[in-house]
Amino acid sequence: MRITGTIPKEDLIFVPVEFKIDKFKLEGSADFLIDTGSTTSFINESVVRKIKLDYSQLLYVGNSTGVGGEAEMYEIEGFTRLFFEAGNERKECPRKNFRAMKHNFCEHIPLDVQGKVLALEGILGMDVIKGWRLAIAGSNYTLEV
Amino acid sequence: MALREFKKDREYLSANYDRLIQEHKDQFVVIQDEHVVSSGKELGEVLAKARGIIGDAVNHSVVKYLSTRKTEMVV
Repeated sequence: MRITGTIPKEDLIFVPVEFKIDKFKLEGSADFLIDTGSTTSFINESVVRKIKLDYSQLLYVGNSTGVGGEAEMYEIEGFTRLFFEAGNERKECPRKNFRAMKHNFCEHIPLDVQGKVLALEGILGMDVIKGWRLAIAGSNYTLEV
Repeated sequence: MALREFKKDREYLSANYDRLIQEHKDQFVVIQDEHVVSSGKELGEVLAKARGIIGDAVNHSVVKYLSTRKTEMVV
């Protein structure tokens, strides 16, 4: 499947994804950031809270480190199925033990910064992207999933 | 089907971004069927209100933070 688009002015590529979590029979939709700088793919806290996924039902696997600091990473046991669409095509991408991130902000982090971090919905990192083809030409991108 | 609706709502947000950010400065918004169904400063409250109005459809709704502060994103 080929997903094409124009890179917006923020210079970030977001791909809309529908997902289903087998173990908890939960589903949702979210924008996932294509991030070649991330080793791991995950859903972020706003999406976890949106679909009412309970962190206490997930396995804490440690902290994830980035330029902005650290955050707690949890594992969603079993399969999380990601669905991509382009035109009339739909493709399922099952991922075992997908991750979910949780933030614990220090008091000095401004509220609007916390809002921005929380609202990042999901990341598709190299663990997923490396099986794909990503091409960027000018302000256009093509993602072959 | 759900993803198609989600895409429609993110296109609605994009097309109406300038107006919506004026109306909901530095707030979370939940968009469903091309309408803002809930907004506010605290994510949990905004999601709870949206769920009270549209139920589980919130799972497929667009949830964004409309920040007036320009920041560079490094992830």
